[in-house]
Amino acid sequence: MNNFKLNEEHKIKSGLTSPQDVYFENFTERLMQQLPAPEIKVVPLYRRKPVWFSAAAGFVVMLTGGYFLLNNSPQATTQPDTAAIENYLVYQTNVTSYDMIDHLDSQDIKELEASIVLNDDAIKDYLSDEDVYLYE
Amino acid sequence: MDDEKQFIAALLNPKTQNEAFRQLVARYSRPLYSHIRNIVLNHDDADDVLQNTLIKVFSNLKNFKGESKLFSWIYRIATNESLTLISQRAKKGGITNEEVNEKAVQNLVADEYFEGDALQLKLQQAVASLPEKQQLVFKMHYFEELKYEDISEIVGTSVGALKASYHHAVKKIEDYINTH
Repeated sequence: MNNFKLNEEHKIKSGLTSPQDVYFENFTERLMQQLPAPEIKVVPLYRRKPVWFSAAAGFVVMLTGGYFLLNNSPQATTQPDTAAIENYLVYQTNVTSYDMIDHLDSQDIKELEASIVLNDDAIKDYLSDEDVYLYE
Repeated sequence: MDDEKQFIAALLNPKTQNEAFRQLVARYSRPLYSHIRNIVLNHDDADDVLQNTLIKVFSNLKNFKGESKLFSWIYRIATNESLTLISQRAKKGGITNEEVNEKAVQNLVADEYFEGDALQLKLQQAVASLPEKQQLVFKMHYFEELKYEDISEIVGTSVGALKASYHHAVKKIEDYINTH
């Protein structure tokens, strides 16, 4: 072919043909079924805390832990002395002398007698304080 | 323009989205099919690309800013999808995009959706011998009769550059037909 001029010719169509209407109708239905489902907004049960929140929480834990560590260092357990026990039993409880006597056996009494040193002056003082009169 | 704004609003509203999109498909599927088919030539490929294009349109509706016309935006997606398919074919076969097009033209003879005569087939062969950009401009302006302004918005090239590309394409096509 010689001296072919595109713009001087009748409009040349591409020659490509479109499918029938039924293709487009089916295509629409096919496409609508393939569309991605709408996004459902999910409310998380657990929301991850930001880093600054974790850092602040860690700081508070360290501060509290440090305070208790410094102020509650383990101390040697001390046994109360005999006088403290006596005072407690006499003034702070409802234990009477009779209750204590009931718990003493003869061995205890012997030990008590041996440990108590009484002199005459002390006996006199006691008797005078208790208004006990001696008849000699 | 107001109609288009309302239509876009319906497309973005979850309650009306599906029905509006069905209207969009009804309105655009035929011209889009022709546009894609002119680029990829084969019916089955055009069917795949049309489907991918419209699914992409649906998925990206929320990103449509309305800066360009809805028509231009959809055609741009369709054009990119078509060119992507050709590039993938070329990469897979280890050949150029133009060679992919030349092969597609050779297959037109046996295509049930091609009813062209000898001159139409020769015109397709001549177009397939052009660089990709010139092919695109020629097909859109000559076969689809799109205005340069619309093509410019779709392919993102100035109207002047498009006119120059089209002029070169016509010259090469005439030379091809005169010498083959």
